[in-house]
Amino acid sequence: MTKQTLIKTIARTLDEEMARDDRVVVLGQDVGKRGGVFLATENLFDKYGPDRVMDTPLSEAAIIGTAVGMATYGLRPVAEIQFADYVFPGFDQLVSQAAKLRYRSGAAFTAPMVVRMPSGGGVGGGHHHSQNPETHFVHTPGLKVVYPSGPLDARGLLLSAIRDEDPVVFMEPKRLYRSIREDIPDGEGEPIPFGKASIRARGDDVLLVSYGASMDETMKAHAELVDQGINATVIDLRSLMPWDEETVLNEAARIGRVVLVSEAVHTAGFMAEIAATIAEQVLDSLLAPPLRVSGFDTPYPYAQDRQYLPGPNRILRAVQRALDY
Amino acid sequence: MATEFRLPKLAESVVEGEIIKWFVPEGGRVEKDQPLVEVMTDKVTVELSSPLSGTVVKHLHQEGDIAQVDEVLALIEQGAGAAAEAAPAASEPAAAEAAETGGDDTDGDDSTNLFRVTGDPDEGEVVQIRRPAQQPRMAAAPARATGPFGRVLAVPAARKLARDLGVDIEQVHGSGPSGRVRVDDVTASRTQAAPSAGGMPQPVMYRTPDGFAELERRVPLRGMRRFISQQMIASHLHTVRALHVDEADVTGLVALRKKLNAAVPEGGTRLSYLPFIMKAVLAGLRKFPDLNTSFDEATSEIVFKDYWNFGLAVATDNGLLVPVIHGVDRLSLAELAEATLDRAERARTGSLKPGDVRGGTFSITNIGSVGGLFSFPIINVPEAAILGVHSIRRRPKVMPDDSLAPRDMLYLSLSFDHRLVDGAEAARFTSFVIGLLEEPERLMLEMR
Repeated sequence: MTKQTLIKTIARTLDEEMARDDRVVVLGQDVGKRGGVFLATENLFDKYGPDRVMDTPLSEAAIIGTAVGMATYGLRPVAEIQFADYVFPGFDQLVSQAAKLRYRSGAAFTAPMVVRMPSGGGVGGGHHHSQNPETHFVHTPGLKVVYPSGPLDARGLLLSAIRDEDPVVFMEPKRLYRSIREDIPDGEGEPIPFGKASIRARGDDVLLVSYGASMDETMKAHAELVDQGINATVIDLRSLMPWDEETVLNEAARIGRVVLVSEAVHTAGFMAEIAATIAEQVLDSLLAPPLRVSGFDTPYPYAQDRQYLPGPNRILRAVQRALDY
Repeated sequence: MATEFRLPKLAESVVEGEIIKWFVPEGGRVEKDQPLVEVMTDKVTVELSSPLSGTVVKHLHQEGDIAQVDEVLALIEQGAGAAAEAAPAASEPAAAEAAETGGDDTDGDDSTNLFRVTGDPDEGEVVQIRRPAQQPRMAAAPARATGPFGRVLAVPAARKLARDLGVDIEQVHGSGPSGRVRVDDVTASRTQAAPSAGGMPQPVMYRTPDGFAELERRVPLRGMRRFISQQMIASHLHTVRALHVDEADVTGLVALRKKLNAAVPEGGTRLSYLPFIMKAVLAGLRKFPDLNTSFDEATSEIVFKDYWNFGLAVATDNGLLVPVIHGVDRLSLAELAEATLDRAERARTGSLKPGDVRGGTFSITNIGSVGGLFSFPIINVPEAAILGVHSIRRRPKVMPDDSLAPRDMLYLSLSFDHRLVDGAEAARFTSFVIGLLEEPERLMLEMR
């Protein structure tokens, strides 16, 4: 058992998968000698060499397109997009090629690949280093999208992602890379199946649903609620496509008050999908409208990380509204 | 974090109040206990003071708005810094945060990181969750809360429950914000007698005749006028009003009053006729208790009251007020005279307290001071009856020996709720009161 940060756990998991399966290769800007800007691929170059750990030109279209080709020909590429914000030059390769290959070819070809992307704000990164573009990918059939909130889940989901037969967008809450440590069991990791949420706390007063970087703030809000005598059930979605409808709908129907927390842009964010599904499926059980706590409909601001990101107080205010309704 | 300033429940049965005046504008500084807003509730006006020192961030109701009890009236930012919420992070040096986080990093070479954690979102005083307040339930005739398109406001789960139970959600009183029906309300409605639907007639719509718009003025129905209007409508729609008129020969009372007042020392309170009338009415109510009742529509019960608090209708510059003299049975004639003056004076100067207009069991309206032969008073609901007292005039009267004599004559008009009081009973009550007024010495027999 080792207490490890999120970034160390990712590096370790990549290392273990590369050791287990020599089809697994890593590519991206600075992932080789440099070990990645966040050190997610630290030491892999020294250990596995340039044939399996490839520094690429500054071209996301090339990174993802190359990964599609590698995957089609039998490798298991894990591409790193340095910041999720940079994925857009590679967007076409991801949504038009990787996502559709299985369908275009009648399942003759698949693209078993992972695109890792450090995501989210709170690092003073401004417009181009803080975004949460998950909705673009959730809205693209053929892609699986996961967004773990801590080391243990990241390990289990990364194992599933690398071993999956189809392309997986693997988003990482970069703000939490070094702030959360969890006990990682020694030995081989246990894959976490996609579409399975994690219930982080149980209570009857209100349901909090979140994922990724916002989970940390949601758990802070939960701790504060506990202090104030309010019992919340907290769900970490972990996996956005597919997402765990059963768990969310059961809890939403049971409790009747739902607060959905995501730091992504408000309009048409992933929580809109959750809110709509709750309304469609369990409206008759609701005691209040599903309420979203989110980022804003603006480009991510440079100087106002703290105002932009939903924190415990904004979550508590939504809880208050749900209780009062 | 701003504190919510809510409309308190100022007295039993108060469910709403009108915002008359904000003493502190938005953005203005307010000290603890400084008057913040003037609110008029059901004929009294109260000043509400700020519970804390700080800045009034926002008025959630404007002057003229009606606010429900427990609704938020204003947001007050505690403390000296008005700008605290506007820029919570401005004073926090991000560099210090980053250094702290960087120091925490023992796993990697921090110098390789382009970006550093800049701090937690929305730091500051933690929001305190207010437990859902127990909403006051209105006893009868709740105002139906409807949303857009006239649909009843209800949480979805309450609609579902109402459907399952066969409860008409239109008839359920909502205890939530804006009268929204909640699950508990549906459950509670099953245990209550279903109120009669009794379709309310459409109000009369006024249209200005062509060409007369220039010659008309429009004044919003506000404040006192609105409360009077509401009370009158309630009385008109929810009582079965009947009138009994009779006259009293109060020549003896006029003489007695003159004699008693002659003995009042300089500066003492001189007796009007009202204390005598109140004592006579008190004796009548003891004998005919049906007139000292209220009808509880929610439970279909008649409430008999073994206490006697008389409302006195007082015309003021702002409109009609009905302050109450409590415990008429425990006050002497002189004390009643003083209490009458006190209530009338405070009604005219606008210094009545909420308790001064509540708890009445019977009302008396003295129309005589203005003039007229007799009138048909409006019952001051939820009371059962009101007595109109008119001017005492010397008129010729045929005496028992068929002679004509100038006598001091007084018309009395008793307006009563025929559901609670029969016509014959009203007549007997009035005759009994008249008997006491015609022979005021008999009031001695009623003294306790």
